[in-house]
Amino acid sequence: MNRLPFAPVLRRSLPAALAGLGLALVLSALHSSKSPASAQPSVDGKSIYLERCAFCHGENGDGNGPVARYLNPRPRNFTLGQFRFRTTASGELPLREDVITIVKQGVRGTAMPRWEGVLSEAEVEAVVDYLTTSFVPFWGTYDPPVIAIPDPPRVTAGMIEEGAIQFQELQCWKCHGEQGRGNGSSALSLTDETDRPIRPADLTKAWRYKGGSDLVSIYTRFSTGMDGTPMPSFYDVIDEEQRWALAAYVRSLQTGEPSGESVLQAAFTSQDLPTDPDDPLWDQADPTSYFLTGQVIVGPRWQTPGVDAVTARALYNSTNLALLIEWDDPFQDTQGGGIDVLPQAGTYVDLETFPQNVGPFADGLAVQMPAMLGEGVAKPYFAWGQPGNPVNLWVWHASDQVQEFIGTGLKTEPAAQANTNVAAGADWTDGRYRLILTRPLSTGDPDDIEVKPGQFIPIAFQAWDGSKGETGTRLSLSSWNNLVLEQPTPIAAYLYAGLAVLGVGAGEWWLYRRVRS
Amino acid sequence: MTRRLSLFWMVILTVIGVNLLLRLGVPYLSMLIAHRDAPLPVPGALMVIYQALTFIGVLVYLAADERRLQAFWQPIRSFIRGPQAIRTPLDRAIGYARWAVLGALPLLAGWAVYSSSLPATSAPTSLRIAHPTIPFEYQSLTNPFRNPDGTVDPAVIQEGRVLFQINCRPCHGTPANGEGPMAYGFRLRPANFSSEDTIATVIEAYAFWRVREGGIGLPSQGSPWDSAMPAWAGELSDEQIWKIIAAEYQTAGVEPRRPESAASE
Ligand code: HEC
Ligand code: HEC
Ligand code: HEC
Repeated sequence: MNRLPFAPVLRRSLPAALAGLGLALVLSALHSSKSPASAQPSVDGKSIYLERCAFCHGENGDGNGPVARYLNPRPRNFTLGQFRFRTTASGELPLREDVITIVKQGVRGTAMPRWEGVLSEAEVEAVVDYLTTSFVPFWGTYDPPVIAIPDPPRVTAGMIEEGAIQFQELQCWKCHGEQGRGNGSSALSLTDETDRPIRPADLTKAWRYKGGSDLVSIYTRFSTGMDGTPMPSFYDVIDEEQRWALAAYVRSLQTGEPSGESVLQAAFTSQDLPTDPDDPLWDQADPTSYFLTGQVIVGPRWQTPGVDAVTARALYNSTNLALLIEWDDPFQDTQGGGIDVLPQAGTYVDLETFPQNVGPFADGLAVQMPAMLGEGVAKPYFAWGQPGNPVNLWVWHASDQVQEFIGTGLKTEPAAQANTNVAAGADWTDGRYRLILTRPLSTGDPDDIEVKPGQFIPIAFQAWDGSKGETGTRLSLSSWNNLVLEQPTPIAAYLYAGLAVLGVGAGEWWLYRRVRS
Repeated sequence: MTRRLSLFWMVILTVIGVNLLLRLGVPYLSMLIAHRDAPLPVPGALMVIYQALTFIGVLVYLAADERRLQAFWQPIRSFIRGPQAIRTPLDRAIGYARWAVLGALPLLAGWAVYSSSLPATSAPTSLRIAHPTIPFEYQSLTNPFRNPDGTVDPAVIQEGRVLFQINCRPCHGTPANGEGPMAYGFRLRPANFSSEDTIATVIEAYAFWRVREGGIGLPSQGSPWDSAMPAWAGELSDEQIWKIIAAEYQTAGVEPRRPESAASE
C-alpha cells in the first residue's frame, strides 16, 4: 500500500497540524482516501466457509469448531437441520433466502457476526449454498411450506390490549414472565436441541432480540417458532388479527437501550434522602442508563455476562448522597457462600467444562469510585483500579449487607476497608432489582473520597448474577462514567449578567450622545 | 455597474467566515482525511490564537488608513444616530427595528455572560493520543514468521486465526472490525483493525507491544485507565502473539507499515 511516511505523525497531532498545513493535507488526503482493502474477491463458497466460519461451526458443519467451547449459545450444528430464523412452518427447513438474511444480519447478542459489509452479496450466497448443500440433511429435496407474512397493520391501543390477553391465554408468561423479563416459572428448566440449558428471551430489552425487535420480526418469530429451542410456533392457535395484536403487545414491552450518555446528575433536595425506591422524590433525579459487559480483561475471562445494563439516579442533600440503581435479573439469588471452581487453565472460561452446579452465589452490585481525587492524580484503571492507584468499591450482595473495599486490579482480591460508611436497601420484584445506596458526602474516613458539588467524579458499576454462576471476577462491568452533584446557579452568574447588561447599555448611550452632538 | 459590499459588512463577513472555518470546516476536513467517524474539533487554545490573529489583522487593516476607518465607522454611526427624518411608513418601521436591536444588544450580552458562568454539566473531555511512541525495547523487533517477501506460511496464519478468534474476537470481532459481542460495553471502543487508522499505520512491532502490554501499559496520553485492551504477556507466548498478529492483519485485509519508513519517523 502506498503510504506517506509522515502520515502517522500528522494523524497524531492532526487538528493542530491541520489548521496550519491545510494545503499539504489536502494533497495527502488525495493519497490516503483509498478505502480499506477488502478480502480477496473469491466467490468459492467452500474456501470462504473454511476461512470465515469453520473455527466456530466446524469444518464438517457440526458446530464444533475450536472456538465453540467458549461460546454460549453454541454455534449452530448444521447437520441437525434445525434453524431458528425461518419464514417456513414449524419443524421445516428454512428457505435459502432465510439463511442468507440471517447470515447478513448476524445474531445480535451472540457470537454469530453480522456479515453484511464484510462479505459481498455474492460471497454470502456462495457460502450459504456451500453450507446448506454440504451439511444440511434433505436440503433441496423438497419445497418447505412457507408462512406468508402480510403487511403489518397500524398499531393501536386496542391491539395492544388484545395482545395482552393473548399473552396470558397462550401462556407466554410461563417462560417469558409476566413482565416479559425472561423470568417465567419454567424458565430455568428449558434445554435446546443439544440438551444444553437455554433461557427464554428477555422481551423488555429491544437490543437483545436475536432476530430483530420490529413488529414483523416478532410476528415471524412466534408464528414460525424457533426450531431447536423450546420457543413454540403459535401459528395455528390464533388468527392473523390476534397475531398482530400479540406482536404489538410484545413490542410495547420493549425499553430502549442506554443512550451512551456518561453523566449521572445528582439533584439537590433539602429534604431527607428517600429510603424507598417508590418515593416520588426520585422523580426529581434524571435516570441515566449504562451498558455493562463481560469481564474479558483478565483470565479466566467471562463472556456470558448476566447483567448487561443498569439504570441509575442520584439525589443529595446537605449531608448525604443517595443512588438508586435498577437492573434486570430474572431470578433472585440471596444465598451466597457456595464453593467456586478453581480458576481454570486457559484465558477464557471454558463453557464446555464450566460446571453448571457451582454455587450458590448471591446476586450483587458494586459502585466504583477512585480512592483518591485531585489535580495531578491520574484516574485509576476502570476495572477495579491498579496497584498504586486504587479504587473505592461499595459492594452490595443480596446475601448480606453492603461493604466497602479497596480494589487494586482484577488480579488481586479487593481488600475490605476498616469502616463501611455506605448503607443499603434493596428490593426485587418480578425480575428487577432496585437498590438504594446512601453515603455521607464527607465520611472522615481516609479510605473514602469527599464528594463535593460541581466536581466530576469518575463512577463505574459492576454486577453479579448468582444463578448464572457469577462470583469474583466472573462479573459484568461498565466503563468509567461521571457523577456530578448539580450546583444551584451561583449568585455570581446573575451579578455578572447584570453588569454586562448595564455595561453594554451604558456604552450604547455614550456612543449615541457622541454621534448626536 | 456592480455595487461593492461596504467595508463594514466585509469586516463582519470575514470574522464570521474565519469562525465557520475553524468550527466546522477544519473539524470536518480532519474527519475526512483521518477517516474518523466524528469531526475533530480544533483545540480551544488554538482557537483563541486564530481568533485573536484575525481580530488583530482586521484592526491593523482598518487603522492603517484614515479613510478606511471612517468608511468602517460610517454605517455604525448612522445606525446609532437613527434616521434624520421620518417620511414614509418604511422609515418608521426601520426606526422601530433600530430600537429593537439597540435594546436587544445589552440583553444578549447579559445572556451570554450568564450562560458562560453556569456550572458545567457535560463531562470533561480529554484529547487521547491513539498511537503514542513505541517503547525503545520493542522498536527493532520483527515478526519471526514473516518471510522476506512479506508473506506468511498459511499454516501459521491458520494457527494465529484460531487464537485470534478465541482470544481477541469477543472485543475486536470475528472480521476484526471492532464489533465483537463484548464491545458494546466499552466507551473506548475496541480498535477496528480494518480501518485505515489502526494497525495499518503501525509496524508489526508496535502491535506486538500493544498486545503484550495492553491498555494499562499505555503512557498517560493514551488514557490507559479507559482501555479494556488486556495485557497478554504471560497468558500468550511471544510466538503465539506473533502468529495472532500475522492473522490479525490478514483477517482485517490490511498490511503493516514497513519498518524502513518507521526508521525515518
Ligand atoms: C464466532 C463464531 C461464529 C462464526 C465465525 C460464525 N458463526 Fe454462525 N453462528 C454462531 C452462533 C453462536 C450461532 C447461534 C446463534 C443462536 O443460537 O442464537 C450461529 C448461527 C448461525 C446460523 C443459524 C441461523 C438459524 O437460523 O438458526 C447460520 C446459518 C450461520 N450461523 C451461518 C454462519 C456463516 C455462513 C458463517 C461464516 C460466514 C458463520 N455463521 C460464522 C457463531 C458463529
Ligand atoms: C416453553 C417456553 C416458551 C413459551 C411458552 C414461549 N416462549 Fe418465546 N422463547 C422461548 C425461548 C427459550 C426463547 C429463546 C430462544 C433463543 O434464544 O434462541 C424464546 C424467544 C422468544 C422471542 C425472541 C426472539 C428473538 O428475536 O430473540 C419472542 C419474540 C418470543 N419468544 C415470543 C413469545 C411469545 C409471544 C410467546 C407466547 C405466545 C412465547 N414466546 C412463548 C421460550 C418460550
Ligand atoms: C476486553 C476487550 C479486548 C480484548 C479481549 C482484546 N482487545 Fe485489543 N483493544 C481493545 C480496546 C478497547 C482497544 C483500543 C484501546 C487501546 O488502544 O488500548 C484495543 C486495541 C488494540 C490494539 C491497538 C490498535 C491500535 O491501532 O492502536 C491492538 C494491536 C490490539 N488491540 C490487539 C488485540 C489482540 C491481538 C487481541 C487478542 C490477543 C486483543 N486485542 C484482545 C480491547 C480488547
